[in-house]
Order: sequence, then C-alpha cells, then structure tokens
Amino acid sequence: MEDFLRGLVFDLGKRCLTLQQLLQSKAFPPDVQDYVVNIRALLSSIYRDIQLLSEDPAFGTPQLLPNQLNEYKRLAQLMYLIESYPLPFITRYNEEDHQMFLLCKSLATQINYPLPVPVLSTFSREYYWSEVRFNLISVPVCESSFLLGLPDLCHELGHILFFHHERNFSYEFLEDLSEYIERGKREVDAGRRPPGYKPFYDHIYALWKGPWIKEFASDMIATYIVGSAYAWANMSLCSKMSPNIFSPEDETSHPADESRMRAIFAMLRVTGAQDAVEKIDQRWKRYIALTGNLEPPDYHLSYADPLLSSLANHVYQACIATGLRIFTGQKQSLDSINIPILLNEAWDAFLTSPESYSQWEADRVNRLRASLNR
Amino acid sequence: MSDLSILSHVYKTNSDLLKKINDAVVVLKRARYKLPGAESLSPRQVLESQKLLSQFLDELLRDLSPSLSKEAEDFMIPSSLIERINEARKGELEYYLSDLKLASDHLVHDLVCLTPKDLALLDELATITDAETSSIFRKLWRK
Repeated sequence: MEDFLRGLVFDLGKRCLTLQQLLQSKAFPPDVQDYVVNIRALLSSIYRDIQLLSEDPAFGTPQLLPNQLNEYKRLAQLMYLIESYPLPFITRYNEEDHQMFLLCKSLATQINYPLPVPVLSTFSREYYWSEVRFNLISVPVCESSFLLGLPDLCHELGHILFFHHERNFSYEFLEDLSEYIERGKREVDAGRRPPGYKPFYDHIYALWKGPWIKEFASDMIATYIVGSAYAWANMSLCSKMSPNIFSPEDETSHPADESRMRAIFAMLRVTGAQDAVEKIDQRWKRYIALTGNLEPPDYHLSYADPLLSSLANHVYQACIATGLRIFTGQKQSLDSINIPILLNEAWDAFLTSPESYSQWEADRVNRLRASLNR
Repeated sequence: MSDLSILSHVYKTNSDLLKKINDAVVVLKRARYKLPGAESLSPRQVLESQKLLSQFLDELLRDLSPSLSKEAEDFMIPSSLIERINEARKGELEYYLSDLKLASDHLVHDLVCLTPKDLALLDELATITDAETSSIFRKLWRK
C-alpha cells in the first residue's frame, strides 16, 4: 500500500502542476485576474503540501499510513473541487458572465459589501447557487435580462458573508437555541411531553446548528440588503418550485419554505418595515390557502417564532458590525442606478400593473445595462 | 437557493476539522512512537496538538452526551458529524463516552499517558470525519 500511495501522491503533484501551467498559459479578462492570482496561490500551497507529504521521512510507516491516506484524500478532493468549480468559471468566462459581474460589482459597492466581489457565471442548471469557499456564484443563463429574481443574488452574497463571519452571525444565537432545546427537554423531564420528544429536540438542534441557520441567515441578510423585494422574490420562487411549503423535500439541506418566509418577516420587523410585512403577509396567507398544504404535527416546535426572532436580531447586529448598508439607507444617485431601490421598484411595478410590467422591465434592464457599461 | 451553497460551506468546515485532527494525531504518533521526524518536533508543537485534541474530545463529549446541556462551542463540530458518530456507536454510547473522557484526561496529562487505545480512538475519529467529508465531496462533485 505504501508504494501505491506514493504513486498516487506523485500523480496528484503532476495534476497540480498541470493546472498551474494552464492558468499561467492563458490571458484572463480583467474581471477575474485577481481571482486567478488567488487560485494560483492556492494551487502553489497544495503543491507544497503534496511535497511535504511525499518527503515525510516517516512516509508509509504502518502507524502513520492511515493519516497519510487521509491527507492525500483531502488534497486530492481539493484539487478536484478547483478543477470542477473555479476553473470552468474562469476558463470559459464570457460576455454574459461579465454583465452579471458588472451588476454584482455595482450592487456590492452600493451595499458596502465587505468582501471581494464574487466571480459569476451564467450557466446554472440549479437556479442560483454559490460555492462559498471559492467565492463563486452561478445564476441562470438569462437572469441579467430580468429583475424580479435578482434579490436572490443577495441571498447568495449572504451565504458567502455568513461563511466568512460565521461566528459573528451565529454564536449568540446558538446560545438562545441551546436554551430553547434545554427548555423543551425539561418539559419532557417534568412529564409534560412524552419521552420521545428528547431525540426530537436533539434532531432539531442538529438541523438548526447545521443547514438551517445558514439558510435562514442568508435569507435575513438578503432581506437586510433589499427589503421587501426579497420577500416577494421568495414568494415567487415558492409559487414556481415549492412541492409543499410546510415540508421541505430534504430537511437536512433546507428548512420549510413557510418558515423561511417567517424568517424574512422577522428581519423586516427588526428593520422597522412592519407595514411591508402586513402587506406581503396578506398575499402570502392567500397563497398558503391556495396550496392546500397543511402543517405537519409539531411544525411550530421545529420552526419556533422566538428562534426566528432571536436569529433576526443577531443577524441584524452582525450585518451592522460588518458595515453592510441596509436597504432603508439606500439613496438614488446621478452617477448610477441604485440596484436595491430598482429591485423594489420592479416589484411595485409588477404588483401594481402586471400586464404592462414586462415593457417596464425591458426598459429598466436596458437602462441598467447602459449605466453599468458606462 | 440550490443545496450546493450549503454543501460547499459544510464541506469546508468538515475538511478543515479533518486537517486539524489528522495533523495533531500525526504529531502525537510521531512523538509517542519516536518515528522518523520526531526529533524535529518542538515540545510546544506536541503540547498544542495534545491541547487541540483534548478540546475536541471535550466538545464531542458534550455534543454526544444526552445528559449534558448543549452549549455554543468554540470548535463548532458539524452536527452531521455528531449524527454519524452517534449512528456508528449506537448501542454502546455509554462505554464510548467513557473512552472519550479517558483519552481526553490522558491528553491533558503527559504524552506518555497516551495509550495505543487512545490513539486508535483518535484515528477512528479522523476516519469518521474523513467519511463525512468524502460523502459531502461526492455530492459536490456530482453536481
């Protein structure tokens, strides 16, 4: 096995050098040049780790072989992820990607986004997604020709921001979550709930601490950035894609859509936009009634309002601490089109006169493109 | 909106944790078994590895023990990893927890207190972390 692993390590080193050569041999557009420098630096550090592993004087000793295999796997996976995500983004960068990048760059300036602008691609087959570690966002092909779905770009920026500031966004909330879980378990100890509820509380603790906090916090950050426009975009997305708003298809990846809307409302309330909540909630309730979906048992124990309110408060404070500009602080300027304001105007126009919206949107998209390319 | 955004975050968390555990275990094994390269390890490196692994085991104990209250932690062990360990040790959790406690006690004392059983337990934790990391990797890679 020692010889086999040694061969694999050498092979990985060669692959790493090949990727480095590929990045050295190509000329990249200005949007991604800094990004390419970062990826090259990452490849260099992987190559150093590969060398360290292969030159270890104890390479292949029975005591260390399992750990060396773990290290090889970690490095090999990282290499394949670089080949699967950043490389296609930068080697196939095109004009549509550039237009989305310009839009995101302008948005980032307007919201005072504290991190480097992500690299964008327009070849997503899964609606909007981000690769947070590599600072990448992918959007559907024609997205830059429309406005109503663009608030979801802020959700992906939220994922990246949360990834880099996870402790600031989550630490205090996790204390509130722990208290909630312990309170629930004490109810079981006091005989006010059946014993089976203890594993139930452990399970929802794991879900909140794992995927749910990331998704809720990203929704709340997007709401902080664009306000009501994000709530409407979420309702629109549910109308298109939600199989059941109370039951996520995979609860280990996303919380229920209904709870996400309450999370958005919680953030709108924290920002003082109570009127907006009432307005959106009227239509949202009618939408829920139309779906015919019903709450499963214990639904509100899993997605308790006090937890959503607590998270909204902590995310709001963390957004302020990172310097992110809130939607209520946005102002029109003569130099550029303010994107958070434009997205709210788009939803107002859509809700006021859906029939003429398409013409309105085409005009605003043209103006936005012209402004971004000035 | 896709689960990819969460997967990429969880993968990085698991992969970083695996590196931390694996590197620290390598330091301790190298020092404990006097393997080639042990002579270039500083006492501080060994001590830091002991401290890191002991802290990791303590947090794991808190997360796995039904009787201990949940706390916001420094290490932030991914909940999916806790569930995987729980599943692997179902039926013998009580014994497993006492083994973890013992290994953590040995780690805070002296390197010579560390038994082959403790090191095997740490290796097993690295293997489980690797299994969780690789499983998320496969999901990310297949997208």
